[in-house]
Amino acid sequence: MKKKNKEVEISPFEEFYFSLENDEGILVKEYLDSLRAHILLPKEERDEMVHDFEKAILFLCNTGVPLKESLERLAISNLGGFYSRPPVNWFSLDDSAKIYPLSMDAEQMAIFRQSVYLKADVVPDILQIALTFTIKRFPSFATTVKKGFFWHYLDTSKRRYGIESETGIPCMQLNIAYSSSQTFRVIWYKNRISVEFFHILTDGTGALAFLKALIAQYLTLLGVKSSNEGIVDINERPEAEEVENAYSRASHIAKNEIEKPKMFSGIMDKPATQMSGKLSFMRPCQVFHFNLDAKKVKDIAKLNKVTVTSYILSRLLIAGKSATDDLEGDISLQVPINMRQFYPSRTFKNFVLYCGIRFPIGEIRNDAIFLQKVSKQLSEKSSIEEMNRMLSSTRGIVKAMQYVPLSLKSKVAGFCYGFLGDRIFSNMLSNIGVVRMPPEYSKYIDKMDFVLGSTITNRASCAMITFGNTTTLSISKQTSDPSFEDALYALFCSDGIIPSVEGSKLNDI
Amino acid sequence: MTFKEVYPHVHNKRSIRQFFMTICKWLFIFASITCALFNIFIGGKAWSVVAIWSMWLVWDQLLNPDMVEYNRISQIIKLVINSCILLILTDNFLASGWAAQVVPIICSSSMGLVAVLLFTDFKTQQRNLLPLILFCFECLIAIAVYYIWLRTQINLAMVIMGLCTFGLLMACFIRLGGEFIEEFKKRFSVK
Repeated sequence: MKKKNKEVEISPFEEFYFSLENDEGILVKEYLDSLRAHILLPKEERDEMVHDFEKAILFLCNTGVPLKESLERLAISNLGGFYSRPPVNWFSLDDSAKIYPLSMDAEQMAIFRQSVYLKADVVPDILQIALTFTIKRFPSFATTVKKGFFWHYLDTSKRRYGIESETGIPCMQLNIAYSSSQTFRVIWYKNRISVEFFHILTDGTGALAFLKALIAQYLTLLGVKSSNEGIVDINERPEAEEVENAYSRASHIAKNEIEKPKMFSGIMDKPATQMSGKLSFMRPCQVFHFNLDAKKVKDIAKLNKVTVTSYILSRLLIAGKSATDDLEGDISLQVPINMRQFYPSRTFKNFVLYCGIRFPIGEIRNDAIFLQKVSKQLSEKSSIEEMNRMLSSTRGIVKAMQYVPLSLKSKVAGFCYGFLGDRIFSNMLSNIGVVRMPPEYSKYIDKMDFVLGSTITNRASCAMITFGNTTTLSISKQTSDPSFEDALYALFCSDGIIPSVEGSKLNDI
Repeated sequence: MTFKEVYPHVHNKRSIRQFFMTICKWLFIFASITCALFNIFIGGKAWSVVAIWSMWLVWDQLLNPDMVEYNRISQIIKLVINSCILLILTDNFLASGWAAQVVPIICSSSMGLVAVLLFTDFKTQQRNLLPLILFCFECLIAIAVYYIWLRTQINLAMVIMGLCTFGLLMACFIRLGGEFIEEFKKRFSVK
């Protein structure tokens, strides 16, 4: 009888391992044994993580890095005790985050994305390890959303946080339903590394700190050496201030400065005019990035004696006017204000409030006087006095609702958010400002972008970020009507800034 | 305006699902209103209440799943509570006299099922305790309402349900020890 020989498949790592000299083989074996001892997760997850490290070793060695140096770069000390301790921490939501799980539904979830475009294609095997090392420094991100009796909260989730290759639309819904589902994702596509966060976790500032740490770790693993100035040290111990509800502390300080705090101050207003396109099923249905010459933008703003944000706001208001058929009504732009400028805080949680820049359609004109009006309104509405009023009002609402059971709150809050929160604005502009990385890393980075996710009734939302000499203004569209971006493009061209435009195909049914 | 595409091609599966859900939602709303109007028009027993709740049960359980804490314990408890309400409505509006026996039996047996699911995978499921704790409290409140407010005779099914509730809460407390208190702190925090 003929006996069949079962062929044993050898993985590329095993092939590499068997090809090593005896002492190198021992080194690798000791490393993997120690790795296993530091990952006390369920077997499948531990095996998957070990496999991640094997792939990273293989990649580094195949690119000519000596084995010893590869293992040093992938040092197990970078894991800390994160994967070997049971999850015990939990985090209550900050005041601003409390609304997000209450108002989300199958079609709408507050997600935003920040991306870094590298000068070379992303190496997923290395990015995975960078994430494995980085996540432990951000304990409030390594969590899953849970329901309490009164509020949602974040429960620590010890698991393998995996990267994903990009297949969906930007800022696609996250599935946070299951036990230990993650509330953020790290995505890569060609030369782009993106992090998408559910707003419950953090705001733009916190997300940027994470993204910078992740990119720094990624480049370090690839052999780039830097002082890491301005970047969170992933091997430092997290501090309590980084996970604090900064609204609470700030409202105590602000309380003495407000004469008569009003409920709903700055939160309620009359509905704003919306752009005229039909709302798409898929949201956002299209994303555009206007890459602008940062110096030119700054020069134009300086020439008109306004800030860059005021200049861009004026362009958005004018483009908004072109995108609506309404002849009356107000166009209102929501502008998030980073509260850290008024109340310094190291929190990675949300610490933003917003103001509304509102003009009647008839008053919106493409001239220098209008630009001055925008600038004036922005400086008035984003002043510390206005923000204190809103802070106190937000705090008041949270306190008034704190003893109402979650099941009741979710019905009321969901309705109010849909009815009030979105309709009082026509569009949004979130400007994260100028991002700086140490020069050793900047050499490898082309640009960055910042994208906002879907809204309920607004047809577009805009976000801006500047890296190097590129200011990227990203537009998330909720309609297939191209009037808004066409008008905006024409406005920039008429100002002498020719944007190079990138984006996604229109996705809708 | 021309632009360079920098995103991969996307499949429309998700938006097709959303489209289907929107159609279902409006069909359910239409069917509910039709039921109620038809019932009012032809008169008789309020069968439309039972029909509308049955439709809600299907919608809530199958077509609109929870977006947070979708796990086997929460889903079983949600099904049991929805089913018990359906039985009570049927008892009240169509054929009366049996719900006081049947509902506690269903609750007791579902507690047994949940206990098996919880203790066979305790490490994972211990973090999904809130629906179970709330269910236990709801059962105790139901017993209190039944005996104190309605002043009805004691029946064996209710006693068994009460015992099961206490038993399950005690078992959780013994198994979790100090963590049970910690779980309570998290779940009932007002911060």
